[in-house]
Amino acid sequence: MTDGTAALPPEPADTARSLLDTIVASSNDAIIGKRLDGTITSWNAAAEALFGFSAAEMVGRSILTIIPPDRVEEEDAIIARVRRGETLVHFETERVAKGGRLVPVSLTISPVRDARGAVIGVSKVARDLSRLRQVYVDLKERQELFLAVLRTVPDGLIVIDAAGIVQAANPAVERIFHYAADELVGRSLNVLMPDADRAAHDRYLTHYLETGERRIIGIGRVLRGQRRDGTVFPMELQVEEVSTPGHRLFTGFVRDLTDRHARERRLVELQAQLIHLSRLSELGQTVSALAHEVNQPLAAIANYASGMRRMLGPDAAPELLAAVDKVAAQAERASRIVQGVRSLARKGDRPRRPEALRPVIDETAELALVGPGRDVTLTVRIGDRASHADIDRVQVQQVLFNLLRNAVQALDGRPVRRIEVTTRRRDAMVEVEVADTGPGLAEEVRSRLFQPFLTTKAEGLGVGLSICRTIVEAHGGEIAAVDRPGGGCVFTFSLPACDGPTPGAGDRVAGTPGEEVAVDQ
Amino acid sequence: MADNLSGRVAVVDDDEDVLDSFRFMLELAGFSVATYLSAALFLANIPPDPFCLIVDHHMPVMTGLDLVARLRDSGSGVPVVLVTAAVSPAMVAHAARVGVRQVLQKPAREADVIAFVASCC
Ligand SMILES: Nc1ncnc2c1ncn2[C@@H]1O[C@H](COP(=O)(O)OP(=O)(O)OP(=O)(O)O)[C@@H](O)[C@H]1O
Ligand SMILES: [Mg+2]
Repeated sequence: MTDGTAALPPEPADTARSLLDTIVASSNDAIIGKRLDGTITSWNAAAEALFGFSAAEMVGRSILTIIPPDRVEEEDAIIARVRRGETLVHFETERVAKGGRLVPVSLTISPVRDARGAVIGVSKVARDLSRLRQVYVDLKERQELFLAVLRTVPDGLIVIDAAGIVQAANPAVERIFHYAADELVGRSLNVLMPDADRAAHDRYLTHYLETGERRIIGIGRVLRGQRRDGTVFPMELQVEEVSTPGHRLFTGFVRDLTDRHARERRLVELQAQLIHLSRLSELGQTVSALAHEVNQPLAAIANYASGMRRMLGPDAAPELLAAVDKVAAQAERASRIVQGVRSLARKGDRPRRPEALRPVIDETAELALVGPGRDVTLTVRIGDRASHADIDRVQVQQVLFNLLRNAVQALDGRPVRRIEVTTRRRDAMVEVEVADTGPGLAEEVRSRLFQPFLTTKAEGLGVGLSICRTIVEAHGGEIAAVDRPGGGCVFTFSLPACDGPTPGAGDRVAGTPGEEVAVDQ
Repeated sequence: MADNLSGRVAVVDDDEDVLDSFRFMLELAGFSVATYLSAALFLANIPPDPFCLIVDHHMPVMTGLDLVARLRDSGSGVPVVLVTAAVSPAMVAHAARVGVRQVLQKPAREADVIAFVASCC
């Protein structure tokens, strides 16, 4: 602050003087007077507070007391400029407070002149910048954090103004839409939507601005996005209004739903296939169970007829002998009919093809582990020469699905929740094993495991495993269950192996059946 | 069919009527027959050698093939015919591995059964 005496002619000199003193004393800024040689002539209360030295201590001492050694030259330069009559405004530097603490300050330095206008001293107003600095540092930190978050969130963030013009966009926006952020800034948000949807979006915004009624603002909405190359994809857009003084800004969060949609669609497709198939399978299964049951009495009839034939001997009445032969023949005929129905039910309409087992397993697991199976650890191991099988893919998926669902259900509430699917080659077959860390098989189901309508579950139908057996046997394979060493159970089924397209797969085909001695039943 | 057959046959099947019919047929053919309703019952009362074994595959708890595997593990080389309603390549391969001599479709023809038993005795 300059010495204003010259500007106050109407006031008596000492009135003006005391007014000035009052202002100086009560100022929040430190106000220091000094002579050109640096001797301090005045030191107000704010200076005492800022630098920690009292007026009594400082008046008469050199200003160098509060100047850091490395800033002495700077002070010399300032004095030189003030001597020439210049005023320095808001010059940011540092001063030393009592005890050596550095204080960031903003200085306004003006010359003090005598009655003839000669510069005789310096007035220095120092404003403490440390609070401001701290606020600035905090702000900077927050901004950095905010920017870091924006850089890393998978969601796109776009800031638009009330006219829908893009003000800013984060890197996720660039990834999602394939535009660089600066290409978008200044353009309408519209460019990120297919033509057909643009007008509708504009209407939403205008509608909201006019009525305050929310259609998209504040509510997430799934709509179509358009990438730079014109491809259209499903996205979720959530627009929020940001209240800033003087501006109406909106932030739009964009989530690319492509993956989720594709997954959901696949899941629905697979589920539909499985439902369709399980109907077919249940039919085939019933036929198969029936065939098995009918075969037992047929076998008995055939045996009795044979015994009777022998008992009668060659001398019996020819009509009797013929009748017994007819009993045997009819039993055989009935058995052939049963076999015929059985193989008919077996065939189904889908042809078998060589299939890679890994994707079959992975896809089915994806479906079987939804919901309660989400946190189950699944390990899939494909054995040597056990990567491909000649199968009806959908049917085998059903087998895997049923086994995996059973395993997931068995893992409910278990401390270790693991499922291991392993394939291994055995002669002309691939064995697929599904092992879990559940409680193992209940005693009462062991003996009739694969029979239909056997269940220990409140909501179970008890058809899962019998369907598995039908399908596996239709593939010429077998299915069996054993206890897993260490708890849980292992279901193993076999499928006709075929050698995948792997080069070199042929070099060990020579291994003859019977070489392997281990039998794991 | 020759009438001068003899020898011991063990039959294992989980169906009582099937067992009875086998006994009827085989005894009339001149064999002495022991029947068992389960693999476990058979293992608890294995008849003295020599004998031959007719076993059904689809049995609860221990299947026919399980039973044969157990017998082989304990060093028994008893001749076995496996009878099953569902003959499949996998089962035939499996049966061959555990040393089953023949797999017959159920209901089995008398001639096939007698031929097998006669060849063993
Ligand atoms: N991994 C397993 N661990 C323990 N028990 C099992 C397992 N898998 C099957 N079981 C037992 O076998 C029974 C029959 O299984 P199955 O899949 O045939 O029918 P379910 O699962 O009860 O009913 P659903 O018709 O819904 O499949 C089950 O109720 C259960 O007691
Ligand atoms: Mg089930």
